[in-house]
Amino acid sequence: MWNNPRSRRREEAEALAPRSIRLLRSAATPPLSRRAMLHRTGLGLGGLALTSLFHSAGRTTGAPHFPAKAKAIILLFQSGGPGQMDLFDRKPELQKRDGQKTPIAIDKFLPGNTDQLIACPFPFRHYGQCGMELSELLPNLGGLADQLCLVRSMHTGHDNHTEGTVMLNTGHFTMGRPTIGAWISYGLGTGNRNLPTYVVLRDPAGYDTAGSLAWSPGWLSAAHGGTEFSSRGVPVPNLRPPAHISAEARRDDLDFLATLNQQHRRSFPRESELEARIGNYELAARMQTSATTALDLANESPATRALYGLDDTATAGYGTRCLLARRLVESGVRFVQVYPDQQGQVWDTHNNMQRDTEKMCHQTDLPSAGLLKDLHARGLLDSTIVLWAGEFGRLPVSQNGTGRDHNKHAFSLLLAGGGFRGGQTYGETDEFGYKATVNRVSVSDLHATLLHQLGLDHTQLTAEHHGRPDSLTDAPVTGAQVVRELIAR
Amino acid sequence: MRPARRPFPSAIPCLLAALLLAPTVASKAAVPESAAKPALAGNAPPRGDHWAFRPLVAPPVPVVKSTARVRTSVDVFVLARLETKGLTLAPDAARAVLLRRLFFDLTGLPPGPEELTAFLADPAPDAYEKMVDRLLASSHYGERWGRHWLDAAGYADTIGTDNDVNGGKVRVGMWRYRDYVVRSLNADQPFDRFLLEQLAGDQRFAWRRDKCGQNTDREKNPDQFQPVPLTAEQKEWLIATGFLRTAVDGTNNYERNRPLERHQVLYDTVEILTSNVLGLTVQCARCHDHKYDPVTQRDYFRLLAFLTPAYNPAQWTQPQFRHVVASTPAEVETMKPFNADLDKQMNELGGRQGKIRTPHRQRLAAAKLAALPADIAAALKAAQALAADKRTAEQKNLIETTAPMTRVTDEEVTAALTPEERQADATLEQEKAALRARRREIEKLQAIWDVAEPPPTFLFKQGNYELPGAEVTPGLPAVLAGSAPLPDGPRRLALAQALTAPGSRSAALIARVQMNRLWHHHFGRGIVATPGNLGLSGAPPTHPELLEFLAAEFVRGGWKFKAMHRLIVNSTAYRQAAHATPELATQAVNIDPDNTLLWHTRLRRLESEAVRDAILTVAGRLDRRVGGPFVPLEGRPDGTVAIAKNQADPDGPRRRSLYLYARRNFNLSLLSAFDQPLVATNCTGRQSSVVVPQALALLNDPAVLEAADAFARRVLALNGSSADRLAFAFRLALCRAPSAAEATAAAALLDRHARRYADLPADDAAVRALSHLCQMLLCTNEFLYVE
Repeated sequence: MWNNPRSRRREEAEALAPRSIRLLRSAATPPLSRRAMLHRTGLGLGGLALTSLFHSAGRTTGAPHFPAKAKAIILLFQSGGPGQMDLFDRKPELQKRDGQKTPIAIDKFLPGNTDQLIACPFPFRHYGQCGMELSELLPNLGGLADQLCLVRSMHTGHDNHTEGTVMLNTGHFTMGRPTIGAWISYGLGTGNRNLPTYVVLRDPAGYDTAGSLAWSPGWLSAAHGGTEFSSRGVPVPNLRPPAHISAEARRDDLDFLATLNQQHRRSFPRESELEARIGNYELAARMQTSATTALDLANESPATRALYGLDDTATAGYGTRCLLARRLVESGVRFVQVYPDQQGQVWDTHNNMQRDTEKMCHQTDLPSAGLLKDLHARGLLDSTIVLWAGEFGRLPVSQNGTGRDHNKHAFSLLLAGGGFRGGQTYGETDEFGYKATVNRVSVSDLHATLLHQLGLDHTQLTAEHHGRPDSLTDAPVTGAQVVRELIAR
Repeated sequence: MRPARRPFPSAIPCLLAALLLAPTVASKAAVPESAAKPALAGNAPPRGDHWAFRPLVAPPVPVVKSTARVRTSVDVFVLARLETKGLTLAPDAARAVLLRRLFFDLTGLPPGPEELTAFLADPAPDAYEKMVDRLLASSHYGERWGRHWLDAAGYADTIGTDNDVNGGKVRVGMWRYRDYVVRSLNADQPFDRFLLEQLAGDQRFAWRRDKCGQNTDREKNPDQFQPVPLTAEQKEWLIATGFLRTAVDGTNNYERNRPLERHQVLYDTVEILTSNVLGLTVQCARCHDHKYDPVTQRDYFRLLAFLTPAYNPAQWTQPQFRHVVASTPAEVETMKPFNADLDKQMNELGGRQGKIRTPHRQRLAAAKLAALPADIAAALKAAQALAADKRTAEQKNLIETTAPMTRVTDEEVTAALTPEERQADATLEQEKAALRARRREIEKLQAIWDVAEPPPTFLFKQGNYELPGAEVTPGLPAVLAGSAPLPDGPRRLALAQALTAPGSRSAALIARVQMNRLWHHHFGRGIVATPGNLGLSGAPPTHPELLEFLAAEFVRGGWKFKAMHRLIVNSTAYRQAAHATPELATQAVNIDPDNTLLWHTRLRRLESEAVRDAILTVAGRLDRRVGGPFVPLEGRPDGTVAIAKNQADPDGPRRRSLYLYARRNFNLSLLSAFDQPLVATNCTGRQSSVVVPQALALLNDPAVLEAADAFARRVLALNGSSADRLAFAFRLALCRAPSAAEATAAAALLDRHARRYADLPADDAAVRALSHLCQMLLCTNEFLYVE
């Protein structure tokens, strides 16, 4: 780290200032190649979801299909699969039959599973005016119960981490499809042309098992994939020139490059893609400032820092990323994915669920709640959806004596802000919390609902794949529907 | 609703036939008028009537006005479409432009300065055609066009879902399949044979010692799975079937080795096969009859039945146990002492290196330790003295946190050597590398084979394997099969024979798919803009007769690609400039603004591999060796993927991008930035995006900066004036001389940098300054695009 990064940044910003900003002025663009250009430049694309099969119904590029309730989504991704019956879905029958043989058939995943039911080791409490039942391990989130929409009837398609995580993000467990963040970037375009539309804040120590598949553009343009911002050091790879190249030297280089590129550009007046590429060199220079500024927490007040638990080593890492998520959303980023600390599947409580669940709740409860409070205080919560979710749930039977294995048939998640109905508990599972039974919500239903809050119709947001229109929810196959009950009226 | 399809033009009188290669089939209207109707309208004709599913009929040759512009028959078809709109072809491109275009299209590399000079100076009227022949004969042709095929085949060097940057599971020996593709294309192997080898090479001869299904034995010792001794040709046939081993297969993990994932391997293999070879998307037919194309659910499972004997979900071999050992036991035995001897020699050399390096390393380590505060240094010494498992948590923490301050890197040691020592060390290193290169490896390859007698294959209701329905037999989709029965014999062999059977609908479709892809790669857009989908839901062809002509010609000429390349790249349509004349352009912009009719050549951005390979070429750094094991990559903490620091082959980092470790998800960051595709199944058409990370990569990626330095040194090595050198730099990067204005701007830039680096030794300053200029040439749009 540099001694005085801020002053150095300012110098750079000045040196990089606008001698060739004028070059960004775009030449008159002929009407039809604009479409081709937008497609390739990855600017706002909603209206360009044209295929040889469908006309768009007069959509404006990058505009929602109908008035949006929210502008952005923050996914607080609880990698590993938190146990629904331990935190969100109290099961008296499970408590009663602790240690007994399960009366229902259970799909198991890994060895070490028994048929013995295992009770939740933590007490539950009623929180808020609404009386939402949550674990005592979540006092901070519980304190916001009246703003939380708890869904207990989620189910998914795969019980392995990679596939489950890919499914939560793309709607299908096989790799290669675009994630919801990519679809949103494709559908709505950017809210800040100096920053990426879709940002990932992972633990700098490493990836979980799905890695970058969880923010993949799939077969959409690479422009729509998530960009990893490091919460330590330089935020984006290749953002800065090496030490031996000064900002002034680079400025001279870029001016020379612009001379050459402009001459070339004049030979191809109809190729607006070239113009976009010329502009990107200037944007790259501006991003040195904008990305660094967006991630600079020096001006955050002590009260704000405390809200996110930045002063406690147990919460500082995840808390920093939660705080960065707020800053990015404030700057116009549309989709932010936040990961907890530690490499691997941190909620993956195969062996010692009591110890591991306590640890993860301690790490995530305060900063998650802090983010909600901060967004609320800044008037951003109404336009920002916060989704707290893992990739699947856990089984009611014991594994290795004191753990729980993966379960794709039921899991719980929390939604807040962005027009979701607070103080609500939606859906039910069976008496052991094994399978979602009442008001079942699929991952695709969740996606349809999230897009709906952003003003996007999941059946209309399509892009061509192998020559046919495809969509995030693939509703003709998945039967995805907007879950209207989750939305505030 | 979908737009109505563009009607095919009516038949055009056949007068120019004499100019053309004679069509084999009597001329008649290639495509009846009925095809003009929108196929999905209420009263649509039978979907099997879709143009792509019909038998191949060579189209009549149209009459054109601009006969002077016709060089090959391709031009007649292109001109005919243009002339109906009152348009024509643009003038020929300048020769240097043409040469650069041709080099990239046929070899994926830019021309060298000598090649450029020689070509510009060649007065022969057929200089261009000779160059075409030369490039088609180059081994780089197979690398370039092999890459296109590998995209469509979904080639990757890894087995499963590629989700861990430093944990990719290698599919042992898969790279031999990549090399097989390169060799086959270089040899201009007929495509029908190429396809047959890939689908059923293993079924052409008896090669197995085992009985079917000895899976448990394989798991105990996969390297014992040795077939009968193989001839070189037989080995090639087995390697070819790696084609059917490209699908993601996560069943190497215990927790993913279940019916769900095993079936997914089958589904993915069908998807890859059909989108690549048949140019159809059939995966929706797994759950229900295809909504648009005439592919039923039964058709889907009949295709699947070709593969179930090899991928039998009830008798599964995990992918890590699937390789075949092609070395004979006797060869393996002789390798052991041979390699042991080499290892001994390498150890000895390593020992001698150690004698040179260790004293420096110790001295540097001591100096670093001494730079720490005394108490910390003492504590650290004490901690280091203990065995790792005897250290307290505090001591471990201390070692870890001080590591960046105390670690001595190999580079630091090398820098500390005296010039004599450095020379000796480098010589020893080279000797070691030479020995390492001589080591013999057991030859392992990926092949497919039937694990047991064909199991019954069932149609799955709703695509769910837990709901088996009626049993199905293998067969082509009804729309392609016609009435011909499937040939006798093993299933995949029968499939290969049926697919390219002379006169069949499937052969017609396959030829169209291939020719469309050829066009796509030469012109930046296919005659059908959706190269993976020629079905009803794909884009309509812009030049239907041309596609029919090319497909018919391809089959008539014995399925050989090189002749078809000649027909295309020797045409006037291909040789056009990227600009029409101003008068024509004014008119054409209104008539055909998207240039679908080709009134000028399209500007195309280089693909990811070509970007990196061109940078290495211009820098004079490209290692042009063909084939071999892949070059390892590694993930960096910042999330980027770079070429691994430790390379068995020291020249690995300079090799063509085709030879880098082919990941599904974690490819070299420089390549990913330029749209190297994510290989979930396969890729029938790449994206070409314009995103900021591309600018950042060209400006700041260490590999680009290193190449710019090498480029600058190469230019400085030229004897001549500064103007000569500048011209040389432009020539290397852009195949042209600088304009006067550019030369002035370049001189000014060099001057500013020279003053900036005035304090450096003169040689260093010259490289530094020129390196800036060279890097900017690599950043230009002109470098990044083929005109």
